[in-house]
Amino acid sequence: MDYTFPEKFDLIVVGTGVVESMLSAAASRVGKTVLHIDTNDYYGGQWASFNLETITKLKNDDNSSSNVRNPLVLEENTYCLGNNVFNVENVQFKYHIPNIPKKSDVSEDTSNMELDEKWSSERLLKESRKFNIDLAPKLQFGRGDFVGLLISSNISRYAEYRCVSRIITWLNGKLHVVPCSRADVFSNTNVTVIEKRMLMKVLTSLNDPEEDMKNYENQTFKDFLIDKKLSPNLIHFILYGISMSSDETPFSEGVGNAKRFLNSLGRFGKTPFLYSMYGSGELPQAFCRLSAVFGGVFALGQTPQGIIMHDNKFKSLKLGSQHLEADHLIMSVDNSPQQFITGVEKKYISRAVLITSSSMIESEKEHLTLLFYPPENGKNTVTLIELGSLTGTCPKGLFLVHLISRQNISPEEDFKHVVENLFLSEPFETPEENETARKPEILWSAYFSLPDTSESDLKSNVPDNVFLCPGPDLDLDYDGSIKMARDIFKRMYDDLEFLPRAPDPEEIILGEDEEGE
Amino acid sequence: MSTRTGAAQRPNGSTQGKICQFKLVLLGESAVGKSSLVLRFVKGQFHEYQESTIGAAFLTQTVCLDDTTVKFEIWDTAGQERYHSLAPMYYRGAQAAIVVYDITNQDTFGRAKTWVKELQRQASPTIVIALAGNKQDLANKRMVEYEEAQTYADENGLLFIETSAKTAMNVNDIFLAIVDELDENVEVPGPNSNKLSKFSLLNKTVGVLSKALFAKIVFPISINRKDSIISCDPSL
Repeated sequence: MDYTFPEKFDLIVVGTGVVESMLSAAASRVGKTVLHIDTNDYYGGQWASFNLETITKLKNDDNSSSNVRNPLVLEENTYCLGNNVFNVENVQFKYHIPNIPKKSDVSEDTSNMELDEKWSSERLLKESRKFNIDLAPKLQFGRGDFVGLLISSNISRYAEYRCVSRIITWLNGKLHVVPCSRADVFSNTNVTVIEKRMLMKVLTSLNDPEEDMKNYENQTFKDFLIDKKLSPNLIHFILYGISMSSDETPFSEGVGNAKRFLNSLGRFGKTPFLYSMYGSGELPQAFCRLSAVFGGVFALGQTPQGIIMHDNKFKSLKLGSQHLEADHLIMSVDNSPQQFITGVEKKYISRAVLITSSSMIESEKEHLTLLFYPPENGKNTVTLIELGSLTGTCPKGLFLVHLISRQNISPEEDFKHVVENLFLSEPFETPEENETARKPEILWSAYFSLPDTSESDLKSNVPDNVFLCPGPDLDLDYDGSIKMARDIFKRMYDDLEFLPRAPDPEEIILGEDEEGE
Repeated sequence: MSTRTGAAQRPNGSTQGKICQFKLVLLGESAVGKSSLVLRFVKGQFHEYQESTIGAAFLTQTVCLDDTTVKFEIWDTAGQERYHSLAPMYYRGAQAAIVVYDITNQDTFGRAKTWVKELQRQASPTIVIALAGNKQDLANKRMVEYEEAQTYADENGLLFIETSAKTAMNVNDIFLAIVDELDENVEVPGPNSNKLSKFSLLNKTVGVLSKALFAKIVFPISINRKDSIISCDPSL
């Protein structure tokens, strides 16, 4: 640390995840002085995106104390940052293809060789920088809180989006496109005319606040759909596709989910969802940029020696030879000292990332696909997001598939059935067999567990002027993160507005004071 | 942010010349004069003790060249370069970059080279990079020879100019040189409407654009409310 920082701030933020970055932006925006650091040399923490080389930085913490850089208490009233509770775990990477390109022993036709060149790990790594692999992939509801916040705060200008272009589901051993808009319903060939009418009627009634649904208070959403005399296919589409629910989802929750989905239809594209280009890891950077634009001081790759407490309150951060004081301290939960998170329950999100050779459902047009794989044989619902090269997250001709689920056993076990049903882990001996299987071939896979701290108690053992920010949760969107950021902001600056609109370039007047002289 | 390129259209459909919008990012060590160059270009001003610009996501300047109107969206580092913390997001989608160094400080020239490498690795392969040796008014304290920088620029395919934000020397020229270079770099898109739509969530009105001559097109596809316009780029 050969830097010298100012020694007094209103707020110090450690960690550049989504919640911390929103708070950093919000505080800078209303004129607070902010120092925002990260122990990593990249932005995003557990919300970051990596290329194919840098993702291998993620390692298992074999030694359970390796993340705690020093003894727990250095001196009296000095706590060490970092803990061994909330780390990425069960990390595994695997290439399913040879190291170097196989010499084509079949192809005599040289004109075709370029096209037929097989993927090898060497070739993938050459394209490493074209990958943006999310630890925590997120989609945004077109009319959700997050898109609303991006627009109202003027942060939208920092990011670009692609629209999810189709939603699919797994039904009777096959993939089906879920009809989710009126146009989709009527153009869908798998749904009969009578089913179309019934589906429209139910979709309309779900969106109608007048509709009396009180009778279902103690029942499941599925009970309601069955009562509506829908066909099994339609029940499947609505239950697993549109409302992202399971058989046990209570009625009110299922209706809420379906409404959230239906409300966001028709704003941007065929589905309610947007995906940020170049990966979800761009979004914390956008908030950090806003914070910097409003005077926030940023430094990556910093390793604080500890935080110094006084009267059970945070007093200063020890960084290099400096003691940096601030009224408030915000930390991502993985940076939290062990002392603040005693007794917090551990929960995990199972994650897998696959690089595949083709789309789950091939099409002339490149799709951005969302698949809800329904619960099966005691396995939890699995959400799959398939990204093509147009999203800026993988090279042309390849697809990046994210799998997300509540962890039951381990990421590999939790996704085994999905991977077996939808993909080819090992290529067949002959190209003909591959052709008949018509499944995307897996070129590379990664499995890991992300700690889910969204429901953890991050307040009880924490001093008044310290706030811990949860990592990624299972929700598709950032609603939980916004709520958390707003809540912490209110606790710090009750009377100030959370991320008011930033001025447009045209509204900035430079050198005003000079003119007055 | 995308380039919005196309011909301004009157209600009756007749065209009025091209409008292009480019994202340009500034890079370089602290205190080499990045913000001063922008301020000189955008406002024609110079302040000896330029404070960091607060509150500006980027500044815009419109230049008219023949029948083309070029709108620059100029992004400054907001101080994030100071502790080596500039986010990759900063140069995403940038069509041009000006890498600035101070001719009286050899270290800043070294840093400039690092930035050029970073752009060549990370930014769009078609990005136009200009190297600006700033503070030319202090040539009597020069530590970086003109020839040295020129040779480096030639070897790396960069535009190169020495500038002075203080005297305004070559400031407009460097921006105009970039426009010329951009004109050559951009390709004409084919009709490819079956591709995935790309969106920017903008909160200001974007003119209706059509018949683009340049690589990327953005046009509004629907207007929901006064404060939110969605533009869609069919070419990417």
